[in-house]
Amino acid sequence: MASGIFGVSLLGLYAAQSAIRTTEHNIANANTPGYHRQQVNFTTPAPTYTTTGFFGNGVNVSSVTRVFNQFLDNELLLSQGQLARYQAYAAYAGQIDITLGDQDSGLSSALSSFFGAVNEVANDPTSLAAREAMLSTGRNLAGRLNNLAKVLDDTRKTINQEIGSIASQVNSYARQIAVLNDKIASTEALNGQPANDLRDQREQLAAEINKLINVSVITQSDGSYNLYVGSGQPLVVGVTANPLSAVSDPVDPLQQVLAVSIGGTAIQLDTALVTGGRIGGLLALRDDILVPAQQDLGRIGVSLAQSFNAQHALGFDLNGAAGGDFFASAASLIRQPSAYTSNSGDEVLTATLVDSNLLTSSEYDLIYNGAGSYTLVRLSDGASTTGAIGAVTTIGGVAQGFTLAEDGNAASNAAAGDRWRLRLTSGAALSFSVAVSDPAAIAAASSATGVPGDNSNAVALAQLQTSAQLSNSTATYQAVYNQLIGRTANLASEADISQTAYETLSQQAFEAQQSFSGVNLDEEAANLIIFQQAYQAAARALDIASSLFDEILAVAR
Amino acid sequence: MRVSSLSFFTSSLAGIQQQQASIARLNQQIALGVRILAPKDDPVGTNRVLDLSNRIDVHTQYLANQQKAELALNYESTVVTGIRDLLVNTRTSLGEISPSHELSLREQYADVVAAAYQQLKDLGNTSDPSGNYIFSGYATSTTPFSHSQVYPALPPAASGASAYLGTPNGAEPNYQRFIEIDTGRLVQVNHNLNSAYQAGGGLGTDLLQTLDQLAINLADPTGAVVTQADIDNAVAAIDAALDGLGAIERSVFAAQQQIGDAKTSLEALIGTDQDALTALLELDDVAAITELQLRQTTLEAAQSAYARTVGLSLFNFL
Repeated sequence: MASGIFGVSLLGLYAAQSAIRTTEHNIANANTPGYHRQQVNFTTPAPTYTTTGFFGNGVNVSSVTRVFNQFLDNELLLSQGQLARYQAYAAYAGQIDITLGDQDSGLSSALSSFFGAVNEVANDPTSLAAREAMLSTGRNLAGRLNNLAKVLDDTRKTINQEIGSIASQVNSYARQIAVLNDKIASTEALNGQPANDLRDQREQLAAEINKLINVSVITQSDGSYNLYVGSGQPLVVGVTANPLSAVSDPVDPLQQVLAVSIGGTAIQLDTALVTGGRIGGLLALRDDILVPAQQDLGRIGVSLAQSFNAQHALGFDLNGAAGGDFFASAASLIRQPSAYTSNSGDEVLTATLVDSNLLTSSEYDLIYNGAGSYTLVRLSDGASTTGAIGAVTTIGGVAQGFTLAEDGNAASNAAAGDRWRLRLTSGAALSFSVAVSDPAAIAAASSATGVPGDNSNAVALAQLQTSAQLSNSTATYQAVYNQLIGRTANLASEADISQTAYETLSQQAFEAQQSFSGVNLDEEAANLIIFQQAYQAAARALDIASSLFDEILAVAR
Repeated sequence: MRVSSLSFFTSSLAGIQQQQASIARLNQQIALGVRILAPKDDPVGTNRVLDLSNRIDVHTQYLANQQKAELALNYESTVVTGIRDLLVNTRTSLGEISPSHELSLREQYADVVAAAYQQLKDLGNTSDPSGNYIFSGYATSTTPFSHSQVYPALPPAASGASAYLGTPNGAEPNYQRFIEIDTGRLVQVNHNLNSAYQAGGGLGTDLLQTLDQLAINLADPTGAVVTQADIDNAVAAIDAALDGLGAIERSVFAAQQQIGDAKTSLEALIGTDQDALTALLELDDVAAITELQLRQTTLEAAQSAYARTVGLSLFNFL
């Protein structure tokens, strides 16, 4: 440490220089995301004791620190994470909402055209033109259901892909954080000073991860900076980054979920705890809107197939033959129970449709309790019933519209605790189709040969449009579709409102954080002037100190 | 409160972007003339819109059904009126016939009766423009009235009974065609003419057989076969036919009334629903354009403020 008249000014020069350098650094990084403005901290070193008093020894640059407020940064982190969640949710919800509700792509117009054609056959059963129109509008209806189901299915696939790409993005950020953890620990150990820019980078990476999946950041007094996801699974601990991956959901192999690999074992993240970030939005959308929509559309398809076919079978066609299936049979549309991949047994269960009128849109979980006893849980409201496989499909005294059976193969058995997920109607709309191709095969008559003018079965078929065939005889096909539109619209609208709210919240949190830690160029400009003057003054003082020395030398000559 | 340079710009920008988004949305609404662009814009309103659209749809279908029913009934009614007129004229002619007329006069009347017979058979076997027999019930490709004309037969022979080959009158709505004109309301659009042509069966009620027999007997050169009973039988058959026809005409008339009533009420309902639908969907142009102008002004102000403040910097003065 220099002292004396030269030394003190030198220290002053050095201090001013450091301050200017830091100011320059702030100016350069005014727009860097995640940058916290830095300031130089000055202290005075211990004064020198003389008999005539304590003489100060200049100025010390004790440290360069960030202007950092944990609370404000956390607020920003949280609101940005939620914003990302609602942005993802609202975007997909808006797409599905408009697809379902649009005049041209929605189901309503196809449904009404089809029944219009059925009415025309009822008005003129001998007209081959009217029958052809019924077949073509029927195919149109099937096509529309297929298309809607395909849009939903494509969304399912896109979400699966996004989960995969989010996992790799998070992994790349996490690896960088692990590297930074190492660097920061080792460089800070060198001089005990905070590695400001490295810390900024690390926090920015954590913020980016938080926009993708909600993470908890735990910093400890020993300087460690760890990230945890889900219910406390470690994502980054010290210099170790545990990779995320997208894996098949044990509940339904058609959808993916996230798992974190710890020590070689993949641990699935509990969906209920992944609530923030883009992934939180995608998972919530899938559970709230996508799967219920697939189930509802499927239910309409199954009910249409079963009830229309049933009435059609009561009639006779133009050749006097009894009516066959008009639509592909409802039984063929049912999706079989899917065993959890975590099951230890290998029993295969089959579900059979009994009455589409009693079907609900809810998913079910079936659990094997051992000794031939199963428990069926309806997931929409949690109601359940326990019994043998043949009797377990009545909940609260109300039959659920389907029956279950074991495969009858003595070699495959269930183990206690095995579970199955039932999403019976989720594939129905995709496979819905018209089974009749010959217009003469439309069973418009109620009595057999020789009576082509008999329209009474066609009248009964037309009446299906306005009769409640679903939801325990409380809703028509159109009503169920309208309920689907309404529910989706409400959720999409809520998501929009939440998105707007979080946009405002994020903006406010950003402004609050920035007002504390952000760079204000005018302030930096003023600082430049201050430290420039300080430098000039110190340099001038040095000059004078130097001239004093010259005086001394001149005396000696 | 301290404001960082970055947040200064981002907040001004956020405001501008919001205005732009609102203006874009208003533009779309105005261009399409619709208030609701997607169901999520107004979930409650959309629900209402869907209910109304469905109802209008179903009612419009019923109107189409009513039209078809009306066409069928009008066609039937025209034919039935023709049959009635023919029967009345024939009855008048019968009043002039006497068994004691000379042969040439009897031959003339025989021709008249035979011609009436033929026309009645043809009218009974009328088919619509698609080729379907309208009095066969469900058996629209089967000729309803089958009778072999025996006239002229010399010497006179017996005419056989006529046969009805269509489907009978059964319990409603079987065997005769019904069309649904409103929810749960069916009207009969085909009627069984056999209740007129074969009111009982046998001479005196079997119209075709009786008229044929009368013509055969009248043309008999000996003049000994035809009796007053023959003429009375013909008159009785015509009277029975007119009774049966009356029942059909009343049923047709009642059906036409029903259709007329249903049409009026459904058209009124459709009108009300359509108005409600328009009120929900339609954009209030004045309000929209006013809001557009307001937002445009606000946007311009925000942009102008941004342009002014972006140049403010202490560095300009150093």
